[in-house]
Amino acid sequence: MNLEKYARFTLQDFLADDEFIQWVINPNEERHAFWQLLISAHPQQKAVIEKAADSIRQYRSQDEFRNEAHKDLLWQRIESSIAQQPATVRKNVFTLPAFMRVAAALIIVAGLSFWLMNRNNSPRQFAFTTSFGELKTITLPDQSQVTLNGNSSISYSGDWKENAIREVWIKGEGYFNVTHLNKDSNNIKPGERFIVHCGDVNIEVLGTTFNVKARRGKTNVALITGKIRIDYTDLAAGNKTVIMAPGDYVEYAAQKLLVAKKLTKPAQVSTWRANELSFTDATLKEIAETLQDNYGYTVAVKDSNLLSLKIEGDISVNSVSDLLDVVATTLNIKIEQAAEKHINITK
Amino acid sequence: MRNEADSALWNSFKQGNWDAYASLYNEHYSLLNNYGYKFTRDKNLIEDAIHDLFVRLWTSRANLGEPVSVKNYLYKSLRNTLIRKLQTEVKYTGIGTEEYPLGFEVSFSNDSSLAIEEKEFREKVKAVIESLPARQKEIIYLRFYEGLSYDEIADIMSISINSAYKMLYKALDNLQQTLGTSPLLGLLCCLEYFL
Repeated sequence: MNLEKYARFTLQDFLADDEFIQWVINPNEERHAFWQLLISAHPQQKAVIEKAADSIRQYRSQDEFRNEAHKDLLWQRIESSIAQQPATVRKNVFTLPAFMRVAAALIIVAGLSFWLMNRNNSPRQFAFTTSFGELKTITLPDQSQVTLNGNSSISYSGDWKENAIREVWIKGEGYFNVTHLNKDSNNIKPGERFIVHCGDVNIEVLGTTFNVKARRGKTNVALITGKIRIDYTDLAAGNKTVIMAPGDYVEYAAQKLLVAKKLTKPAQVSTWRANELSFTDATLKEIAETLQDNYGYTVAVKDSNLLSLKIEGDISVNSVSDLLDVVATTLNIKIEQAAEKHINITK
Repeated sequence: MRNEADSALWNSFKQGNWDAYASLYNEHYSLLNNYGYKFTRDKNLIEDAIHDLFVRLWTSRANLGEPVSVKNYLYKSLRNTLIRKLQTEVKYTGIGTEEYPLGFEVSFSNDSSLAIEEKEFREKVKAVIESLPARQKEIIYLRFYEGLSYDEIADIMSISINSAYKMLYKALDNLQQTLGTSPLLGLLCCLEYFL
């Protein structure tokens, strides 16, 4: 090592020097002798050297996190994870002629598919469906609640294990009240995630209340409280994400985000839960669709121009017959109940 | 020496020796925890990362190479595993922010037995370190705590040797400004020299 090299070193230079650091961190006789020699040859460097060495020593006096208490526990976890892995086949234990290898492979494939088809240890599937005009509230394994509107269904698999992502699949319309499990938003564990799959839109939530509706190829989501993230595929831009805040409303169809707006009265999207039929600035078309989707009505409209008639303001009624009365009066049209669930609309 | 023993263990682990594998775990467990703890204070997440790392090591042992330093290899793998885990979280919570997902924090407990002067100095060191950006903090750690060389640091952090060097210099610049010898002290030293 070159003494002269260090004659004009600054504090910074010493701290960047490999030999110097090694001396401070792993002192031995040889290293010690060298640095003592340097100090006697260049005493003007003594203060800087001491300061640099002391900086490193002070830095190294930092706290250690050794986590010894969990050492055995974690090892047990690793052991059991490995035990659950499929055993790896040793190479060259024995070799079979080519045709026998093929035969063996076929037997394995056949056996495996037989097992896959017949095993009944897969998690149990749960599914709930509502008929037209029926509401149902379901409590999920994590105590989250879903209220299904008429003609809707929800399914999920098995008992939700503590560390698994909570996932449900919904068709139709549902109002979710998701139990908030996450305590530290900087650290979300899989078991704290909750995903609602709805058509080709995925809604990821932590803990929140919101309304999802997937009808006629259109999916809309209205967020009441909390925060959710929506993942969808955009025809042009590929995978996209929207983060929703309370009161936000989005509508998605045909791989495009059609509407993203703020609702003035977010709570209104879910008034159906109280068996209430409510609309805001609705067209006859929307009303007819709701009757078809949620109540199983068939609606015949003589003149399709009628469908674009609009009722300004709010409607809120408790039964289909009340709704029909309001609509007929407001729009000044004739609504004839031809059969139990069939109506004709004429001018 | 440490490295050679590690390499021997590594080779025997690669051949499927369970005891060697267990020794690798036992030997590096606390170091890995300590390193991981700098990135996150979430002990469960660190344990998850160590768990994933070791399970992956065992299942893919036949395909693993022979790292120059086993410890550095484990550091690098733990770092990547942790970053991935932390990134998924940031993606989810840190809505819209594309920031470097890692913090890097070292902590110092108060040692009351220190002389006042020494205490002051430590406080200074601590303050400078805390003011640095995360990546500079990490380089300082790998450099002064682990005693690693620039190319080892570059390898662990997946950056070029040049940027490892540059980043360390930036960090040291800050140290120099705060701790650098005052001109007066320098003068005194010179006087001493001439006397």
